Amino acid sequence: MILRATLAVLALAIGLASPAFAQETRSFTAANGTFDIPVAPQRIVALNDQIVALPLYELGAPLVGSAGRTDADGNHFLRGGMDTLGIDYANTDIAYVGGFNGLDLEAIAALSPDLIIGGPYTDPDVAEQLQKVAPTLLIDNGALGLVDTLKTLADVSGKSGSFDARYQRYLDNVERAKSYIGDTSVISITMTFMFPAGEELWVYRAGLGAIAQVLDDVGFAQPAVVAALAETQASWSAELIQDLDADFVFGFYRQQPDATPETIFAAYEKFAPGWCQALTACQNGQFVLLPGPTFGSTMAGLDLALELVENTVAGRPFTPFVEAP
Amino acid sequence: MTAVTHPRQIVLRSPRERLALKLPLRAVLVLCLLLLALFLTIAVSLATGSYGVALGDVLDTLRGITISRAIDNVVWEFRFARTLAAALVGAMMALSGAALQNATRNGLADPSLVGVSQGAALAVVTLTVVFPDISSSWRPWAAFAGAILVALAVQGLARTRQGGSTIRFILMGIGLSAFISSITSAMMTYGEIDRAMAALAWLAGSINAASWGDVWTLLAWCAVLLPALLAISRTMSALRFGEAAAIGLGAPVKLVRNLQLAVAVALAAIATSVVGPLGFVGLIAPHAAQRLAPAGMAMHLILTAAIGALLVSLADLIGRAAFAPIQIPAGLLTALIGVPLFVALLLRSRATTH
Repeated sequence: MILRATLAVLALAIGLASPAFAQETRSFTAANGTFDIPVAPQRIVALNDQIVALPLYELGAPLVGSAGRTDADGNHFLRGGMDTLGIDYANTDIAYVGGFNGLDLEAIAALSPDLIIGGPYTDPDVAEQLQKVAPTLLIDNGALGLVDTLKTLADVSGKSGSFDARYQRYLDNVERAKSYIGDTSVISITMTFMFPAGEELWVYRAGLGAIAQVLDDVGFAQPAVVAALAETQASWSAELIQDLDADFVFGFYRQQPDATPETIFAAYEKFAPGWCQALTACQNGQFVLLPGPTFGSTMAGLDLALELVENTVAGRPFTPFVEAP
Repeated sequence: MTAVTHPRQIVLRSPRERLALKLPLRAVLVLCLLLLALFLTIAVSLATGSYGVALGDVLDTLRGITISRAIDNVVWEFRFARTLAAALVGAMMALSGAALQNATRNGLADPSLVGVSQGAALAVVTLTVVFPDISSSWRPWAAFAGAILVALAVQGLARTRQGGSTIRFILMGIGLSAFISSITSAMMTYGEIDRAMAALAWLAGSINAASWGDVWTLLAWCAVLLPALLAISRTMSALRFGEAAAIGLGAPVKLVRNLQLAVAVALAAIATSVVGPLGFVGLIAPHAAQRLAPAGMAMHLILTAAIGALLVSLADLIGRAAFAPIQIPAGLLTALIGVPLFVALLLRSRATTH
């Protein structure tokens, strides 16, 4: 009887102690300060779907909630979720907690998270309020770049091992692609972003998700005007569209009901009539339209982007762009 | 203090009848109803939300009993703070509109019409987009400085050799507002996208992240600015009849008008600095107060403050709870309510003119 009672007390003590082991903490410095975070968090809420939630889910982190978007019919979705990983709120246990700039603090608190992760787009006052619920880290993905952001997310979620293995495989594939392509520094590529209304054309030097990372890792060149951009992106004048000519142009667009390859081509024509004649890349079929969210900030995005580059640049002959003297 | 009730008014007298306060009965009744509606809105706000808390637990938490740390956070830190902030911000924006309308003798005057909100918005967007390394705790100060600077610029530009002109003040305000808004839009369009996104919620007028610090700030300023406004309400009443009539009655018109403008700008600047620009509250509330219960200036100001508090509290409650977890900024809802009212006021004033 005494033995049984002792065992019961021991079992109870172990049971009570185990959450304490699970919540062992460590110090972590994020963009908004230094916090004590769980070594192995059990319930994470992401304050951005594409930049935070998808990489965490991909790493196998315990994601219980995420900010997301709402379509015209009022349905919530994770931007790029279905495109990249085949996930959405409907087919996962991830709860919708509002838009990234309209977060429902109570919905987040109701999930009892032990870690909350946002970014530079998170309202600092909201982040401050959320500190009362759980350590709220703002990871500055803009300053870190794609790979270091993924590495940081893996670190804070206790999934560094998963990330390191997958990232090494990606680096090996990059080397393999380079061996197929040859001297990548003599091949130039421009990255653009067009909206369906054709009102603006954005040109990216860097920071356009996985594709920008892959092009940089493989070592491609950029037209001089793009390489010289002070910011990572710029709104481009229609009169200077010929300056964007390169061996290849990767033209991104955001997948939405009114944005299809046809409407985006029409948008380019509206933005700069006769644009295709001004770009030899377009004349030679080396203008590639890409749905942006598919190549977002995930390892799957990096893998997809690398495959795309291999298929487009190494997998077929192309006409090199010769800059006028 | 004794109260004497006449058919349409209540007269409060001090013991030796040195002071007497005449209150229109209808205004008192309307004020009581408004305060009751405000109290009910606050009560519903405290009991409603995405975090499921039983009403009994909410009451226990408000009585200081800790059921859980999470419930304490939700009730005290999230719901109570934002509900009080909404009410205070609404009252301040409404009073700002009333003072501006009286000072400019223009029923369409509103903090956003004379550049106060736009100045605050430009300052915050500049801080967020251009100087992202500066701590966000400077945001309220930047907003306040932006609002004050624009208000001073408008007043400076509106001055002529003959002194200030209310029409020039309004026109300069509209012009400068448009100019400032275009700079803000350019920053949002061409600035670093993550930084611009961070400013979006604030620009939409969201009370989402209001904290007790914000509540104390608003309360402290209310405690200074509301009595200041009430203290000059007698002269403000005289100004209703026009500048010449007010001077004839011996009122220090110039001083009071400048004081009104200063208080109006300060009220709007403080409110905007905490929650962002909230459109139309300052425009609607004084008109609604006038329509609901015509009263003397002091009572009109109190009614206006109550209507502003109720309007923004309701907007915040609806925006927070109606489509949860989708959060609709209170600024969007006040604009949705305000635009039809604005048009109705314009049509009504046109009909009156004809």
